[in-house]
Amino acid sequence: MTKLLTCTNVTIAYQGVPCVHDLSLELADGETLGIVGESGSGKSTLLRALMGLSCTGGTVTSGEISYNGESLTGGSAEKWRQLRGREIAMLFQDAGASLVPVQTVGRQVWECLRAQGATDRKKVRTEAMALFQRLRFSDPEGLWENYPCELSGGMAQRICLAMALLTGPKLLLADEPTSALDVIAQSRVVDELRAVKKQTGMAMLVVSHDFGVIAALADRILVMKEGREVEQGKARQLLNAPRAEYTRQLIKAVPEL
Amino acid sequence: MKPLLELRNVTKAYTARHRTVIAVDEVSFSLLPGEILGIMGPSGSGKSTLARLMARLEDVDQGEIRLEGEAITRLQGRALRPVYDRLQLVFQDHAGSFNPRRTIGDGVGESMRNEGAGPRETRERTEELLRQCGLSPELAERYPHQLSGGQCQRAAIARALSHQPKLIILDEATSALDTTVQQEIISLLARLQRERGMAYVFICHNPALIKNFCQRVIVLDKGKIAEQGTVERVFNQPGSQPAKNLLAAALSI
Repeated sequence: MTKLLTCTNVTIAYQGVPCVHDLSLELADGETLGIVGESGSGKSTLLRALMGLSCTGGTVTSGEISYNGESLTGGSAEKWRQLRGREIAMLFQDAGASLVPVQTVGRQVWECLRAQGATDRKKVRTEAMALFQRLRFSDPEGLWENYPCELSGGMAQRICLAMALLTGPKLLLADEPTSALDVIAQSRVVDELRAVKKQTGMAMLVVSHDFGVIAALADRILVMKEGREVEQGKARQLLNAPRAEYTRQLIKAVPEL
Repeated sequence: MKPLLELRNVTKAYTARHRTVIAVDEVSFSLLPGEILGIMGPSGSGKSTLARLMARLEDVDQGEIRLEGEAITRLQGRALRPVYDRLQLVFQDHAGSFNPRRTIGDGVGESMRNEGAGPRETRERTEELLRQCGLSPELAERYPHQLSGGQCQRAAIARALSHQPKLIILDEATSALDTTVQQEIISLLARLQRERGMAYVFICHNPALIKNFCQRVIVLDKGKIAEQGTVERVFNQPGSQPAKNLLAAALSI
């Protein structure tokens, strides 16, 4: 069976200086892979490369990334654009900042889907309302008219998640989706991601420095340090019996309740 | 023992777009010398506003704040200086709490210079403080952007110590850091507390950190104290819904 996403011996460099070294990973349909590591371990760089975003200057210098068996390395910007949004959705740490401050939520949801080819504004609204309800937003109608500054950080994050999900993507790439949120907002976003995974069978790649979030979401875990793989394995196994000393340290650093 | 800090019925409201939000609502508590008090609550519960009021960075609408028995509620300008010799703050945004155009050493040594210490004494004391906070004295020459988040936060603690405070208010001081760095900063704070017997108000949205670090805890919800007590009691038998919600939301491995 072809994997949804594969990454083979990928090296990513900034201005010739490599910061992700020889990294390989695979993601099957419906699977969630968690990537953990400290700041500067190359997690976000790797994720950006998987989104085909090189705006921050990171370039894939060797190795191959393929989606559904088709190689994307060196693919045109057009090719990436067709995948992003429709097939591959993204969620960032500071998702609120990716909302336009001077437009209502409703208008932005519409614009987002129009860019993906939607033509019927009413239908978009109906679908969005259904999704908002499924995500248990307390006042979907009111939300539609809200400006981003009227939303809390957690709510803005959940709106961005909803926008990412509206096109029914096969894969969600999430970069520290909850680390800017308090525990309550965090557990809501985590619950929603789990529910969506269950309902739609969407695959996810979640990057976080927080083992708690990764443990709650991932089927498999990849631990990174200084741009290299430390270990990779089934979530439960890795959490209960980590092979690498570094993983043990990371797990030990999680404050227990 | 006489309380170090006392708040009585402290209230603060903000008005925006014709809507008034009571950010802190009739909050009263007291803190003993050398005590570590945690304040937890979800975003928007008034934690940071409360920190700013305690530190006199903002004026209360109603109520009273006493530091070592002396009312500091209405002090302004110069009259506040003796307050900051005893009370210091460390914020979440580590890089933002230093002047980007001045070195770390400048920032840490500023209060010493203001008190009339000469360049040599300032340098020596600054280097000693950095060392105590686990930083190499060479970092005094660096600028804030050249330090990692954890290093910046250690420097901010060093700066707070330059006043020999009796109380440090830590407003989400470890929340923007990796879990491993978070642990290091907590151990540093615990060591400094043992050595100097300072009190801390540790504001944090993560219950697990409060549980491991504090002695007493206040749970804040919509500006009001929902519950307060020893960490042991509140974490084992939470009596209020807000406390239960917070504890239920924390993720574990």
